[in-house]
Amino acid sequence: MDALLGLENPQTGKTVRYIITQLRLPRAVMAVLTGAGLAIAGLLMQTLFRNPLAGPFVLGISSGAGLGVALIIMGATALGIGSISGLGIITASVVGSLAVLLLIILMSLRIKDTMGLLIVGLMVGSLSSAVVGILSYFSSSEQLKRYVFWSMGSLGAINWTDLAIISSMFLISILLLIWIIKPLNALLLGENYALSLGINIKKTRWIIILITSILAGSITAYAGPIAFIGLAVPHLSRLILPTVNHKVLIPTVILLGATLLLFCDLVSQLPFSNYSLPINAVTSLLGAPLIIWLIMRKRNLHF
Amino acid sequence: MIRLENIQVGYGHCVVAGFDGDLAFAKAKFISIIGTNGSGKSTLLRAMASGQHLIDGNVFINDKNRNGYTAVERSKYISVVLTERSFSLFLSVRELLELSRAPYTNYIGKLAVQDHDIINEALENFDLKQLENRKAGTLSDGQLQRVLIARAIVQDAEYILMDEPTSHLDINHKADLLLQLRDYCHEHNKTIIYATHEIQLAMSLCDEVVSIHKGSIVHETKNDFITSNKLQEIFPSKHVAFENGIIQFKFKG
Repeated sequence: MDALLGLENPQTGKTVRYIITQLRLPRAVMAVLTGAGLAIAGLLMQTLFRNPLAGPFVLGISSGAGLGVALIIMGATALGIGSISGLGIITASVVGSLAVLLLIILMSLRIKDTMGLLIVGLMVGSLSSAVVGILSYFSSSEQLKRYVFWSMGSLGAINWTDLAIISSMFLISILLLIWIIKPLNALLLGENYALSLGINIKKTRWIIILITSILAGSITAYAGPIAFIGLAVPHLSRLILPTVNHKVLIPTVILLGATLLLFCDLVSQLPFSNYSLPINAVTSLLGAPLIIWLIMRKRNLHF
Repeated sequence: MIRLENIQVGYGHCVVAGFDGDLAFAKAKFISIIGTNGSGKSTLLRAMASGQHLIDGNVFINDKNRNGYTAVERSKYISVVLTERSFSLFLSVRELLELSRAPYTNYIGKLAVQDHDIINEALENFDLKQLENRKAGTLSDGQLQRVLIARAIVQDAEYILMDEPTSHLDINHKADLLLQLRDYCHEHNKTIIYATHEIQLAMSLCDEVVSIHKGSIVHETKNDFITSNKLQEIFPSKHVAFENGIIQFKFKG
């Protein structure tokens, strides 16, 4: 292990050793898990809603997580709870994202129109920000700062215990994903054709939602709402491959998502300087032009 | 055999069409469903295929209620060609057909040699061999329609329900395709039930006719249907006349 990290030299100072094993390495692992997880979540949402614009963000899942976190950070004093533990924030984030996903899926049972659903997702996002706005107005600057920092995203504030939790969530998601790989591909034919092929759409839909909320919820809890990865990576993967077969697409989005976020994190650290940028600024700065460039090249974005 | 018992189809509580008694569709038949826009042709097809829009009555597949089958079992009895095109336009023609073998593949959808044979045969029969790697989004309407029909055939179900399979096709392709489908039924002991607006082609090619007019469903042989001269009744216009199932337009001047 030490040799792998270039720490075999006993001369290496304790500080360097600490920086590498307790700061840099967890951060890199977190970037890998976050990039891969959000890319999977985005891919699943695009397949389920048959919409190229879908992603964990667009449907308000991350806003839901944000609302949960805001409620627990800023609403805690109102409820008379003193300090909020990391676990509290995580729980709030998972509950928030799960609530929004359930809402979206309940709507999707009634609204057959995917554009309608996207609008509902956007509205849920606006609603969440409105509530967050009200909470911010009445909260202390200390609480506000904590929330704003959470919302800018960070891969740094992570230790090995947190990583163990996220990794296990990730593992559960992958297992669930393997279970629904066939229905997931059948969904590419549209729900009615999938139904006629004997696919259990209801079960598939619920498992997709479960996976997305586990992944997006736990990642957002620790890293904050990381923008663009979930939306952009599936599109990039489809263009690179090019196929929509999930058996190939899922490993690709995992690799590409991990690589891309690792790269973004590298950029955000502003190497050779003493400054660093919030990760969200970097993913958006890189992600938005990328999507625009794809559209400009008249490459159609399919799901 | 598919048997419909006292069925009423429609939306919500609003019955569009129905029949008191049994409607039975035997094997190896090429059957057309005829009626005006909104008469309930698609609704009837959907009721048979998925149980959607079935307000009352029962659908029996080989004398067992369709609800008694698992979804996968049902998919081996009934496949569909729909008018909606909500599939991913990024799917290649071959992928579209491969996915349609889902009822026969294992839990990760691995295709066996036999599956590939069936897919290759369908690609060959429907003149799709040179299109097999094209993405669905790049095909013309007519090509896409052939792909969707090949897709239903690859599913290898006993009954294939098609909603306007020849829309978007040129008249020569319509005739060729319908003849091919009729021969497929007779040679492979399958039944195709299809909704259509192509009256004249239906009258020359199909074995049986299901007509829907003013909410009542009538099922009879093609010859009985033509003799009863229902066409004039179903499609009333002083400019259109039907003679032995042949359309004649009567415009003055």
